[in-house]
Amino acid sequence: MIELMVDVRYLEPIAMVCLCVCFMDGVISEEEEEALFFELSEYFSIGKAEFEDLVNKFFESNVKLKTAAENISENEIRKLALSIAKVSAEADGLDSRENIAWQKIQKIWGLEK
Amino acid sequence: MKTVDASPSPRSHIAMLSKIGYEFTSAVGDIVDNSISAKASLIEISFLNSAKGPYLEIVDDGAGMDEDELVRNMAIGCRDPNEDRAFGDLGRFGAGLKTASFSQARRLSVITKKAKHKVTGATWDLGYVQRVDRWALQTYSLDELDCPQLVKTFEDKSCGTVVRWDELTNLAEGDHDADLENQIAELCAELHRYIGLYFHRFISGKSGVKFLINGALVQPIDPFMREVAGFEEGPSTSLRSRKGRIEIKAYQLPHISNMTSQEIDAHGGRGAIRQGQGLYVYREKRLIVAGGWMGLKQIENLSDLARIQIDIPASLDHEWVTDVKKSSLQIPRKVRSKLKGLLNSPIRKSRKAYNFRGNLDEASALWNIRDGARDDTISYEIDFENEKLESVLEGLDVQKKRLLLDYLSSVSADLPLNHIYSRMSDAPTKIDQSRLAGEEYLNSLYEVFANG
Repeated sequence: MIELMVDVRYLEPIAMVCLCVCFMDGVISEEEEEALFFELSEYFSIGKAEFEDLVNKFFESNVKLKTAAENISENEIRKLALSIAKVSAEADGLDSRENIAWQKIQKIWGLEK
Repeated sequence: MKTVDASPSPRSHIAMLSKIGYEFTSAVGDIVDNSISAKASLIEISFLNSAKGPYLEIVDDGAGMDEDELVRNMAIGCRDPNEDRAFGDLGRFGAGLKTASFSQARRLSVITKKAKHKVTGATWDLGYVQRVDRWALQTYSLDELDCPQLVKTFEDKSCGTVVRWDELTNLAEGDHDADLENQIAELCAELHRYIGLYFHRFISGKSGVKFLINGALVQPIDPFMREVAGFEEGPSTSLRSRKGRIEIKAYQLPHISNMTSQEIDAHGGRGAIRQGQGLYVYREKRLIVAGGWMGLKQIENLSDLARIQIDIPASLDHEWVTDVKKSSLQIPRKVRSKLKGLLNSPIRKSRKAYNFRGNLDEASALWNIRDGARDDTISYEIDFENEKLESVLEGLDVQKKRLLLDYLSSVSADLPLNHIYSRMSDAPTKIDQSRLAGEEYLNSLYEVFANG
């Protein structure tokens, strides 16, 4: 059983990293949104409205992949973000650009296998 | 370096604008867009012949314009195409009113009234512009209008707009007035179908816009046939980008055998239904692309029941490149790949519907359908192992057996496949084989051929 709750201060940074990866092909699909919401709900107490706010914030902020990556410094949280990002981006088929973005984050964080 | 004034000559520029290849229906559609954007609830289109020649008039009860707005909107290229359009605004380039009108007529008049304002009018007369070689827009008040009919139109209106085309250019000259009347009637019929299809969501939606063409009410034509029994809704999804959300929904039409002949006719006939497979792209609920797969796949018979509805907001105009006529769109690359994945479900269902019909036919006790997988051929052959036939054969001598079998194999070989194919494509509901079965038919055959 995975330990459920993660400190809420990591919610937004993790969501932004995941949204950056999913948006690498230019759109975020409903499947990706649903998968991301489902994954985040596993670790955070988050409602649909709060999640919507996060997605809207992502689109309004124009946040870039590198900046989003820099906002997470703990390795365990980074691993969690990578895992959620992969599941979300794969929800509608992993686009090659999404895969490159995911690998880039892995590299920035020094977590390549 | 110096710059020189290289402004185009109004004379040649306006002639060029009139050559943008609008179809009659899409040109009217562009004017209707403005009426919808002006929140009209009643749009009356009159296409009539008069002593001064044929004319087309589009009258709406929308918000109307004051004099300044009218002059601004009559200017060529009155809006920046890069400017974001508001929700529900069907305009795109700020050119439709003029380019659509000039493609069909030499005189475009707009007479309009905004609430609490006076009636005001303006006319682009291409002949006059070409004579004076200036962008000379003629403006006038209601008192200056020499048209009692138009004055009457505005008597009861608090607001609204009349767009009128005179000196129509795309009507072929005939020897007789009847030729002209026929052309007008044909174009009205085309327009009826076009408005019913391209604006169906405005006619049947909450806004309930009422369209009249020469007094006849336009009925909505739903390309997904949601009102026909057997219609199926498929998967749906949405794609979000920075400036808006694209909604995508798959549908499967009912099989043609479930439709009445009126329903088939209302959708343009069997051929039109087949050609209509594919993507239906709506911009602010106004249909822009009606069918075809836009390069995502080939049109094929077995997928003719598959339809995909795509809704895009005006805020995504910069991504979905369209032309001045709003008659085509380019799917952004990022959406293409997502769409490809979505096509499979409705197409698979469409094929399944046909295969199901095929299986029903195969289950017939009288025919064998031989599917020659090795040489990739199919043949239809009378089933010689049928019980009735076997009992007939039992009572015959060898020579008559041979004669009967020879006859039946000729019937199979001579099946009028081309004729059946053609009729099944055009008018499947007209084919009625049921009258060839039953006791009554058998008795009449017996009477004529056996008892005589």
